Amino acid sequence: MAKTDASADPTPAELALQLRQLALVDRVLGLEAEVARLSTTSPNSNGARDEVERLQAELRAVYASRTWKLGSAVARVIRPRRR
Amino acid sequence: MLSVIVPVATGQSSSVTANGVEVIVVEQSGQTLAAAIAEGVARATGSYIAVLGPADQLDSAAAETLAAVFETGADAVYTDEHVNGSIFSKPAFSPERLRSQFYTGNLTAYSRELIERVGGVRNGVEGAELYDLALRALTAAKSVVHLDSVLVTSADVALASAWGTDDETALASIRSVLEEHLAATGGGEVESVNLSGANVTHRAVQGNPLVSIVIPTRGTSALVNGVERCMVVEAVRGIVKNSTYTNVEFVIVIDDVASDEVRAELASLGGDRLRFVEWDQPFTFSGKMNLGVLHARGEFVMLLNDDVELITPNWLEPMLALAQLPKAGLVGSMLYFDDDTIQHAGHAYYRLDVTHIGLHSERGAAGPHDGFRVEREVAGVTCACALMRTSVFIEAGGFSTLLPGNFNDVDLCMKVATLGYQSYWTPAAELYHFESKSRDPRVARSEIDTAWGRWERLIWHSPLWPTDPHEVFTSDGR
Repeated sequence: MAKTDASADPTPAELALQLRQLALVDRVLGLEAEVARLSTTSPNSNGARDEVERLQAELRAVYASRTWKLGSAVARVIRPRRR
Repeated sequence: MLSVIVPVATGQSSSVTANGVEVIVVEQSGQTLAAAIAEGVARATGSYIAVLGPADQLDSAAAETLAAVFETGADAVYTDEHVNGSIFSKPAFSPERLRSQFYTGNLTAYSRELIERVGGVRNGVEGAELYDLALRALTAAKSVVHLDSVLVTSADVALASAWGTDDETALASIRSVLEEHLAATGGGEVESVNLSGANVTHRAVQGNPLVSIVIPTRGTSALVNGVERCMVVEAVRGIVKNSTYTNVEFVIVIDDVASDEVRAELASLGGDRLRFVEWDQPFTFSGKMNLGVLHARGEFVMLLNDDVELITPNWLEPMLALAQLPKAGLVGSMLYFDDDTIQHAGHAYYRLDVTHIGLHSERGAAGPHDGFRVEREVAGVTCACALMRTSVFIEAGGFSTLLPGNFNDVDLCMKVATLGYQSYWTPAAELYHFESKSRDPRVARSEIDTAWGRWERLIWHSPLWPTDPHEVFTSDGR
């Protein structure tokens, strides 16, 4: 029979944290890509500089967030344990 | 200075310098081609060395152009070439493609230091001397540069053939050097070899890792060839009955609207290798896939749409072998529409357009310079069918939930690439993809803004597929 549940499956709390962690990593990589685009396509315009600064501030905020630090640590631990 | 060695079956040895190129003609005089090239290398005074046939024509700008590239630190450079009436625009250095196709061909120049470091041209590989040199030297090179300038017009007749090597000997040599190359670079097998085009070679699967096949589905049905079918049931049935790689589990991310009959049939097909992950939120491909992968137990995840049908039973092996390569990203397959035209032979980017290579070309078409027939490096692949390490998926943050329905695979491939992973595509894994039966064609403005906002600078062109990817090819070679 197909399984609908299994002890090795992540708990709802683990899942929520892992989904949050995936989203954070995605945002970080996306922000870094936007910064790179603005830096290469129009590096000297005032608008681009302001946008780069705004995106870099967002990045710093994510790196400094408790969710990011906690998520990184938990994700490292959870995945090997499940396999 | 560039030294060009020209072995000739008949004629006199000579050395001439013109336009900054030292041309060293070496006559046969009963020696092997390898020995003749070695003699040429010994006589050469240049720092960079290339070998051409007597009927090949070097562009007058070649010496200056190549020298400028070598001065940047490259120890091997290859250029585009004019061959058989058309321009062969070559891809950026693609080591996996090289084992299936001697695509660097003419003009490939090596630093003298590199040639000496790999022991020069070898005897005993008659008819494959230059392919053998390319495999060994380009593998050992610190920096290989593709120069997208046409600097040579190549003759129809290959150098080895002009030297008098018979086809049977040449084919045996090609097989031999490829087997040796595969053994030296991680393993693999040679299925078939060809004098003028694509060789069929595969990497070998290491071990027997678990592959989690993650399929998001609503459990819906559609007409295919006039027959109504439940897409996910038939996709799973085809894999269960036909797949030769069997260490798989199915993670079915299923909407709450799916019927009990569909669930029962899937459960019957998959047995204890199949698990359901319930989805009760509005549709988002990215969200469903992310949830499915987080439930996966495999070292590798196969990201699969529910509207596919297996064609080649040994589909997972070639994909898995590529996904196991060091720093491998995503691995894609050959997908066909139900009318037997190509839907996907890799992704390419062209003037801000993101498209499928091979789209609407006939099944069986070779593509430009056999591009549809060789395993190769690609910028990205569709995640209608893509295999990757689970850890890489996690490291890249999975699919972006900012891209719920479109461009999420392009975005994932780009993220994976920025992390230093290389994606691959193989023609050896073939599936039907009945995309038109199930796809919602709407694209949200926010999805375009997100995808282009992130990656606009990288989607002007694809160095790994430098020609217009919109070209459509027929199976008779047009």
